[in-house]
Amino acid sequence: MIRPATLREAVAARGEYRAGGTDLLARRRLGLHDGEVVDLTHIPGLAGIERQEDGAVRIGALTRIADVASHPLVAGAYPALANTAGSLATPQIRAVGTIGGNLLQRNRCPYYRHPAFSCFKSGGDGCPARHGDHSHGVIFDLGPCVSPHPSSIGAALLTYEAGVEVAGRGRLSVADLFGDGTDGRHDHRLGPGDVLVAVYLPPPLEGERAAYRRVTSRALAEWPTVEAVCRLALDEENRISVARVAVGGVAPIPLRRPEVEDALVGVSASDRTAIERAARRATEGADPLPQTSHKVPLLEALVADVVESAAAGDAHTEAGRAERGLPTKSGRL
Amino acid sequence: MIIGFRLNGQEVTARVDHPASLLDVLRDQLGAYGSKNACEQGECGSCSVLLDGELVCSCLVLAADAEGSEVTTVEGVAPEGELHPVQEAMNRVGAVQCGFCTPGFVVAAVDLFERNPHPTSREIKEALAGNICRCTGYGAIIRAFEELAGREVR
Repeated sequence: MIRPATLREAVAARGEYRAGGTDLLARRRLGLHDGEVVDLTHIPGLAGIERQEDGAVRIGALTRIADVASHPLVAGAYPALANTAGSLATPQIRAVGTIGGNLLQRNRCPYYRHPAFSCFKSGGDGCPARHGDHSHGVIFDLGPCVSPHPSSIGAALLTYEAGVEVAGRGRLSVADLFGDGTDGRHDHRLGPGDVLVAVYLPPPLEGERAAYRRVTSRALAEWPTVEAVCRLALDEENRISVARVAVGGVAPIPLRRPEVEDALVGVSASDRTAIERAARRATEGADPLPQTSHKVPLLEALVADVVESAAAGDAHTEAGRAERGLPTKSGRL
Repeated sequence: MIIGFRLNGQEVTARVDHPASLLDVLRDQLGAYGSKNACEQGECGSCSVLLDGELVCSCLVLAADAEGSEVTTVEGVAPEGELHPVQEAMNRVGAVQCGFCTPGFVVAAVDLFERNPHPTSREIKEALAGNICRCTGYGAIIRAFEELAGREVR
């Protein structure tokens, strides 16, 4: 294990970067190594949440998921990010896992993680899930690998049009961090020596509201079958003037849905019929696999639900979160 | 590398030669077998411990991270020969089946009740979401903690 004391040393080191280590330790135990562990936790300044002079909020890459979920700067101005962070995994994982690690974690496909199989992501050729069990797979079949991207935080950050800072490379949009989903071998576009330093959230719009929703096969502590994030601004007549919608569990990357966004602009925030019509566009261009067609109606319904939740602003109140089945403050997010 | 930390109030040291987990060190070097080794993937919570007061899966924490910290395992939640109120509540209700998950549930519940002495049923379920009982004995476990919280038990 290498323990760099500075970012410069970390960039020069070769191996597998370790932040919280929840994915890394679990993976290495399955024999999925990518070189020596390069432990980033002794480098000062990589954790913490602060407002910048320009009104943006900077979240250090090594900030723990639990802190992203509960920090007043995030919960107040970026509630969909706070709710996403508070909904994922378990209390034990959120206490250790980091925002940077969530973005850069490796895929959860059971074939990739099983020592008896070889696939694009484990350095082989082919996708055993495509011809095997892909019931957790994508409906947007963008590349050779059919397993959905695991980062819930990634979808939330797409709606906030967030950027990331990579040591030596400057700023990158979150969309560019993930690419277009055609690369079956990698989960993100960072390479050796690329250390993710921080996430930047642009200043919130006046009066904006947002929500996060997920469908899971178990009430809590399960990977989402599908998930959706929505962020809206309304005009004086309660019409949607700005819409940002991103979804997860359905594509090899966290996926923005501009078709839905365009269809929502001008719609009254209380017009359920129009919202549901716009939400159906969330699956425009979808190409479900034989075992994933159930995700098509699930995603359309979930997007309608998350847009209605954002429009109602109920993710912003404790009562609204309990009503919607989102984590409440006292559960220590 | 030699690491030192406090385990249930006692100073301990351990030798860590590779990216070993805290669970490896607890069980293999320090004889603290209460924390169970089940999934080793952070899925089941049977290895739950408190690391400087934070509930974590010790299988997913590098042992090196414990350097200088305070670790509380199920062995340390109550003084020798006594039970923590969480354990007494589980005894009263019989919230144990095979028992393998019990230490993890005890530590997670101790953490919950230290933060929130009167949790709602929903808060209990949220706080225990990271602990799996393969016998599916959740009904009695939740009832035990509802009773301890002073809630009416259904």
